[in-house]
Amino acid sequence: MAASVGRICGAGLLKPACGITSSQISSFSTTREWTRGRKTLLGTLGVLTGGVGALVYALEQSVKASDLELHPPKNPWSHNGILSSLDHASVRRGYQVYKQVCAACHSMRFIAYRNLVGVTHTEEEAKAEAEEIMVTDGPDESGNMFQRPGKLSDYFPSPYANEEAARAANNGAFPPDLSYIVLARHGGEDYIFSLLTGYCDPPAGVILRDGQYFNPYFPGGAISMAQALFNEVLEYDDGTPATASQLAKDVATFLKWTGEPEFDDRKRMFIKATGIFTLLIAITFYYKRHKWISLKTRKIEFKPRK
Amino acid sequence: MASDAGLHPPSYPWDFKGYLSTFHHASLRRGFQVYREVCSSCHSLQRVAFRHLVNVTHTEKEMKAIAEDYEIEDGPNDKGEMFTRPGKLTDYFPSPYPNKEAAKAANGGAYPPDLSLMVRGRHDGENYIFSLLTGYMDPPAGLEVREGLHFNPYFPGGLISMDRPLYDGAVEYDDGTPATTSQMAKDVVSFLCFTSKPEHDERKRMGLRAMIILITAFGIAFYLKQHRWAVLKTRKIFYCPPKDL
Repeated sequence: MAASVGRICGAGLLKPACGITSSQISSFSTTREWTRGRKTLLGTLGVLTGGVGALVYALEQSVKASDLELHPPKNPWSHNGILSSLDHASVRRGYQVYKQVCAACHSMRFIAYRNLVGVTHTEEEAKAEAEEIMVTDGPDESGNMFQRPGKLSDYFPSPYANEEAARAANNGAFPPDLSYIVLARHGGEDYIFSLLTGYCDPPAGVILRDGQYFNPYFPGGAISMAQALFNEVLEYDDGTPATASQLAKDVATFLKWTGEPEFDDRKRMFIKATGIFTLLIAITFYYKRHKWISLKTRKIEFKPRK
Repeated sequence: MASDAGLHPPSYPWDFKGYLSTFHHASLRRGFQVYREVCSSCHSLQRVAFRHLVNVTHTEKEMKAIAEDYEIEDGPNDKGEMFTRPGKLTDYFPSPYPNKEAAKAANGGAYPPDLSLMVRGRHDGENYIFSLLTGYMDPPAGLEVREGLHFNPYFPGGLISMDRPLYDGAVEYDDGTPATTSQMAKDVVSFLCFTSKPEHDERKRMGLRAMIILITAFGIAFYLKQHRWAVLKTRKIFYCPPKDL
């Protein structure tokens, strides 16, 4: 900004001996020399590009079912600030909610028990969690597959063997994998929280098929999943009262972590990066100004021949 | 190391050896019958699909009928279950065992290797496999062969886990050829040569065309080159010293 102010005001500092006006110096446009044909061609191309862009945008928007979707409100999540980490106690409770409520239908294929270590559980606790499940392993020496208790290196088990089995057990609807659901839905954890707490009676005139439920936050309004979170549907290990909104908040935070396990590291690195780059920018800026001073303060005068 | 190899097999005059020789497809058909009836109980052929044999050993209808004899696992169906169905041309040959460990367990710890690329996978493949299949004999005096191993001089080390698979009359050929051990060995080796080198016939066909075209082109190019260079090749440069000296 300082440079632009200097450029505008500094033009007045140059007082050449003969009359080359500053307006002529500063207007470097060459469009005056273009032929009429070239001007119309480029003008038409510009208008077309703008038109096509607008059309593409309109088409994108039209398939978003935006007229049948309620935009979730922005909740004041404790991890929202630029320097705020996730609430790990909430993530731990959210894991409990996932395990006891959601894992009956939703898989979480990309999270392993070892990912919990140091985030929500200690290594022993995570090992104990893993050992609760049986995992198919093998083949053994005879070529047979066998079952064994889980280890830290195992991934969370899927409730169904494949998508077809999941659809068959859920009326044709596939309960999506939840590992990256917060990243995969517009609105992130706000959407998840609003969806889970947003079940209500359908408005007058809305007809739902058998097996569908009304949720204004779900695109289209008709969701195949019944309301899963009710007050005290489970008992938290740390004694927190398990209201429906508490359950939803905790599971949304847990899903935020599964989608963005680098969340805390990212913010920590932001602090470090800001410090380093501020210093580097200041040094670079000084150095650049130092090198350019000879050009920035030069004066060119036209001395006409006598 | 030369000592690691078994007995060096002799070079047989295979009928597909020449630059212009294709496979003998009747032999391939018989060889496929030998594989199916003798070898496929232990050896898989995972890289070969039923469709690869259409117009090579069998017509499309014949091959479809052969494929339908096999039960192939498919799925999952709408309920999420796996199910078996008769084979189609697009299916690959099913393996006799579900995995390597099961194969080893059923064969005394030895894994019967997949045969799809066996001719390429062994030095001097055709001769080696033929000699191996026909080379079973009593061990020489003094050599102790433990239970489960058999002597074969062509196998590196001399002791092979596979028992002799081919005996006279083990298979009754559909085309009536007498099924001696060497006949079956020759046919199955030809078949395995095909599975390792399915491009064989096409390659030699293309090779012939390429040679004709390239030799012609070379001849023309050579003539053209000589023609262009004649000017330089026949020029004479004289040194005429000045008269004064």
